Amino acid sequence: MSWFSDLFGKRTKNDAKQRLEVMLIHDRGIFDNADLEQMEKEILAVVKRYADIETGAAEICTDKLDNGRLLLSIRVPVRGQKSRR
Amino acid sequence: MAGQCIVVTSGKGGVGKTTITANVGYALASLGKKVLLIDGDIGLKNLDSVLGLERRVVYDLFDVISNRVELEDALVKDKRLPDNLFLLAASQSHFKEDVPEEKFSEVVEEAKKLFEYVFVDSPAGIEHGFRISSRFADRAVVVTVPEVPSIRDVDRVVGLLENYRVSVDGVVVNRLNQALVRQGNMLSPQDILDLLEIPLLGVVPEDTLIVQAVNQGDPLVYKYPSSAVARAYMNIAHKLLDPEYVPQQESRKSKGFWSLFGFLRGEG
Ligand SMILES: Nc1ncnc2c1ncn2[C@@H]1O[C@H](COP(=O)(O)OP(=O)(O)OP(=O)(O)O)[C@@H](O)[C@H]1O
Ligand SMILES: [Mg+2]
Repeated sequence: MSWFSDLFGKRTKNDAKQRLEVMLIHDRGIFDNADLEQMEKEILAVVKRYADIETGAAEICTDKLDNGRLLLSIRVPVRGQKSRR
Repeated sequence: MAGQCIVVTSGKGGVGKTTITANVGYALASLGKKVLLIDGDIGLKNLDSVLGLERRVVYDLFDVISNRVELEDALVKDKRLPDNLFLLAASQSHFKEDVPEEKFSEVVEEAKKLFEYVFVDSPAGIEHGFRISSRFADRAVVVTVPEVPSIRDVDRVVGLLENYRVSVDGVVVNRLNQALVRQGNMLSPQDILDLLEIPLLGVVPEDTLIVQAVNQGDPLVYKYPSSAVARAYMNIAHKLLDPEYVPQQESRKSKGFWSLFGFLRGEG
């Protein structure tokens, strides 16, 4: 049993590490609200250089994925090409 | 003497703070430093019995803060290292909340005039007992076992210590079981370093010798000085003196603790 589980058994430490990575991100509050707001401003400033966007309707949020990881997503409605005058 | 206060803390309970305080404190004293160990776990009492000094305790921390005795008169001298190692015991008949922060701070300040290293064995948790033990420390040793809840707590505690402006020397990974690490069923010290944002101060293997030493009322470093665990504690003491300290390589034949360092470098 023991050599068998050594060879084929589950390597539980990877579970531990992945779970901890997510927990520590949440606990440390890496993406607290102030950070998110600032990050949104900076990202939108970059996007604005390339496209005509609805800044007011932009959204930034974090979700938890099924595998426990954190998903950071940004939704920016685009009106069209940036006007080139 | 302008000594330094080092708190040993963890967040989670039962991970080895008291054992590490006793053994690393003893190790530093055996290296010629003047060391005081303060039992910060007020209401309980652990450090005296781990050191085997329980029968010699006359006064405790509470007698000092209530001005019944002078600090120097309340200290218990360790006869194994009579010039270098002393204990200030905790009181069992009081609660942690009975010790005001400023009183504890006064004791620490006074102790730093008499000793080069003043260790405070912090209680578990992050409440009042942790706060008084940590706030007035200059440096901190945080302790974890290689398990999820303990590592998570340590990360939280490191954040609190930063708020208190206490400089964290690093983490001690206690109770490492090499066979489990090799199997992939226990986080290795390197895994833990990847997760936390602090240096590694030491790795202490899981070893039943610790129980035997506690049974006999002697610090393990005194009782079993040539064991791998004792070397682990000695290495931590050296690292506290000199952060650049690198444990000398022993012959590869001597297994045990030294192969842990192999693990860290990924030789495992
Ligand atoms: N490396 C080790 N190998 C085996 N047993 C150990 C090891 N380190 C500590 N222990 C045992 O673990 C138990 C808890 O240790 P200790 O009392 O030092 O923890 P603690 O963090 O001070 O606990 P508390 O939070 O209650 O104060 C004790 O029985 C001790 O003997
Ligand atoms: Mg303890």
